[in-house]
Amino acid sequence: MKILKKIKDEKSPDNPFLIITAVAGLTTDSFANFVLILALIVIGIIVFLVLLNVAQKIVGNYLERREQEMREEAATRIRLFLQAPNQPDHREALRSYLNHIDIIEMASEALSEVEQDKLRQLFIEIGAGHLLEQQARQARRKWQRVQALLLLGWLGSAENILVLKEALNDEDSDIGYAAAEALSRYNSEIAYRMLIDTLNDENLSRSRLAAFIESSRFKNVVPLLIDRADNSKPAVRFWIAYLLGRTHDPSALTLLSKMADDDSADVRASACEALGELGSKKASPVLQRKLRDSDWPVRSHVAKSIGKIGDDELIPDLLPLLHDPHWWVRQNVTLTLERFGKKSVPYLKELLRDRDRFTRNKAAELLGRLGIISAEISKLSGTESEAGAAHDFLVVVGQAEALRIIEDEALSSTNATIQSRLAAILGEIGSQRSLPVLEELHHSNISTVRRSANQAIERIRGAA
Amino acid sequence: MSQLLYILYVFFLIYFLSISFIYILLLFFAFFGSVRRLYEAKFTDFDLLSKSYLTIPVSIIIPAFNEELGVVNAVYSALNSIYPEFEVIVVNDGSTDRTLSILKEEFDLKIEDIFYQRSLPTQRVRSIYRSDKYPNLMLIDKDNGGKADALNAGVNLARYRYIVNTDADSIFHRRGLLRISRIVNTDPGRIVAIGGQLRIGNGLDVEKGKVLYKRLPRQLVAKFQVVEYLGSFLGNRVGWSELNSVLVISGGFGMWRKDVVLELGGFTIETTHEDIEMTFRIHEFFRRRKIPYRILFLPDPIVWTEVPDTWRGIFMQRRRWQRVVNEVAWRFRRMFLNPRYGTTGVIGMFYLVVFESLGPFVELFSYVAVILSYIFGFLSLQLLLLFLVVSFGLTAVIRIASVFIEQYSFRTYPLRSLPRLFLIAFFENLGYHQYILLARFVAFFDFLRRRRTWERIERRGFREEYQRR
Repeated sequence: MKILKKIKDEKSPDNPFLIITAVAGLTTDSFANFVLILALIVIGIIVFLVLLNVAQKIVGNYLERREQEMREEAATRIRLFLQAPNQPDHREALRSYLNHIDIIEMASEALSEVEQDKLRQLFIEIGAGHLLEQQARQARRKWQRVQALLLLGWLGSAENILVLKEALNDEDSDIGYAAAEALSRYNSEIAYRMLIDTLNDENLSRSRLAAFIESSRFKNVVPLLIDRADNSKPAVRFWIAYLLGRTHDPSALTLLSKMADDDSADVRASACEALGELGSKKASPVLQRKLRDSDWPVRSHVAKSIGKIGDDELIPDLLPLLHDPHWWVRQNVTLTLERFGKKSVPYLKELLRDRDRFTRNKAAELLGRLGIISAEISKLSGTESEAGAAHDFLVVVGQAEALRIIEDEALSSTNATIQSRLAAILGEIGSQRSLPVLEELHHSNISTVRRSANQAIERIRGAA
Repeated sequence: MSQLLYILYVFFLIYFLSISFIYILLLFFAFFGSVRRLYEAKFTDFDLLSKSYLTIPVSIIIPAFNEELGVVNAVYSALNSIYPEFEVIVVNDGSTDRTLSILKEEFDLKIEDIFYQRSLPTQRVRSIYRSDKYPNLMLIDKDNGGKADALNAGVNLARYRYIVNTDADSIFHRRGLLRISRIVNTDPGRIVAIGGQLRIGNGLDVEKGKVLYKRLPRQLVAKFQVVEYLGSFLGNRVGWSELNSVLVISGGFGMWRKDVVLELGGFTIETTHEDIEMTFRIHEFFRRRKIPYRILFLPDPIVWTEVPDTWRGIFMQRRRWQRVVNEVAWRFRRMFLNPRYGTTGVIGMFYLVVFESLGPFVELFSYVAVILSYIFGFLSLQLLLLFLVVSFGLTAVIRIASVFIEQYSFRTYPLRSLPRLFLIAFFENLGYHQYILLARFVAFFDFLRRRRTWERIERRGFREEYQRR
């Protein structure tokens, strides 16, 4: 306590610390006052925030309820209008929603296209287009503009298409996307053309634009896409090829075949992918040729497309690509072979003896996935000749490192013959990795399984 | 001496005010960011996105180590996602409980000899399974190597351009992936990682991955974390995202571009947590090479996660989290105040070191100094109380403001939950906050001792049919 007393005595005017606190304007009293003011401010902010939270919640709940009521009311009025579209009362009742077209749009979601068209027509007649145009151009808040643009899309009036064109070029990408989405809701050639031309725009994401273009209500699109396919920008040609593929329209085949020889590898890849989307075997000669393309992305897409058109005659051409230096090419080849199912089995069985490890592995993997290995395992309990053939096949499968299925079956099978024969097969394959499984089988209740497992263990250890 | 103490008080005050100022500034950024995302979501055609061929496919990786209680729900919730093309890869990281057998039974998993490219080194993969019921569900059974190792095994098997990492105790919102990819689709060339909100799932009723009923958790510890998570995920990280300086994409949910993860050598096993380390590695890699990139954090709730609901559990978890902060601050010390690394180096790293890494020292020291000053008569009771009001009040301000952002944007909790949330925000500082500080303080010594262990936190799982069976 003496020390503390001494420390307290240090509080003299000569103390250098006082100078520092004085410079900071913080003498003892003023410091306390400062903290007091700060505490009051903090308490004030807390009270304000609590009230703000409660008010926001109450107002938010009210607005949500009100919107729900308005939507239900609008749905009733729409129903009445559709029952008797020419009755002035019903038209007048809907007129009051001129400033709430979003409510009408939401309430009309469940209606058929024809009914929606009738509704849209009414709102076009009562001047909704003009009102939305004004909002799309002049609203102070960006999101109000976005909403107005989207509602113009719902309205689909040809008279408003210019404002959407302007908005496509807006500096703000959110406005641009809203305009693109609105145009995709138009069932109009002009709107579709505008959308394709937007692909030239460097500021907007082309994949997002392509999604809008693809979802367009306008359907006769192939001639328009063909018309734009000679664009100087490879990125645009890439998406044109993509969109042509997504039409699944055979009339795009000729152009896509030509685009498969484009200077740009991206465009070639996209065209080959699109040829697959068309699903026609008429694309086979082009795809067969492009399997030897110098760029791996092209080969990878070709491999996928061959599966999509389902031309199993191309399987032999596909097999060398299992040695491709690029993983994605090999991966797509295996997926395609899987897609061909049983038709690829003879080729896959041959590949089990391939010099390349990856190819052997993939062939075994696919045979497993196609259920061939399980089928062969079940043959082990069949006739001698069947079992012998299955035995030889499974040894080759195991040597291709597809041991898991064999091991798993050896452990889980309830058939003693199968278990003991699988143990023998594992012994013949001779992988050290199988020892834990064989050890487990060695403790089986069935003597033949035990014996077989024991022999297999000795064989593997002996070889080691 | 008393003058020295006054200078200390001034220092504490400045420290508290500056940390609060940063938080409040981040809250402002977060508020405007949340409102913008809210409007973006409002005017996004999710229906189109959910069907489009152009929506970027993703591989969801769920590492699981002894997660028999929650993993089935986590997998179901991922499979229930409304999304055009995705695969789910569960990685059983050498679990010693029934995780593997439960999954095999529930999803009809069959062993398959899949030979995948071992791009990243991992512990030995024992087997790969595919589900007969869900063709897009696969399971890797491997030797134990930790979460990062399990994630790397998942990355090796993943087929798609973006990978999503999540935990085996997390429940996906059905539209969670769509909400994320809505942003990724606008700029897939630059967005290399993106995170979303984790909400606390203790107290949810869940059946086969579907959330049947939402309520606040029952346990007090978990309740505190509800408000705390809102502050750190919604207030803090969304704010950092606006500055393109997200400091961590949480391990609970994160979407990463696979090519970037591979380029950087995968998730590291050298730090206790892989998520924050990978986030910093990406910042460092891209900023150093001056390659334009973006790491984003969305305010949208993406997954529900289970948090520790015991005092011991939370202590261990926070101690581990803080250890990771220290590890990362040390590992990336060259970025500290280095203008070469832009806002991440100058502001982000400064914040990490001064307020996150050294924060527990200053805060605990300030509490001890102020209380001792009062005991020994250097501080009046009035000033002590004012100090505490300012310090506790500022934290409460931040928490309540986060609740406001949540209510304004997503309205997850009903009106009747608000008073409880406020009370939690007030009382968080009367014990809970200091308890967490203590855990963070202890973590510093763990860091010095280079401790790497990951203590097991007891899980209860969500309330659902599965456990009653």
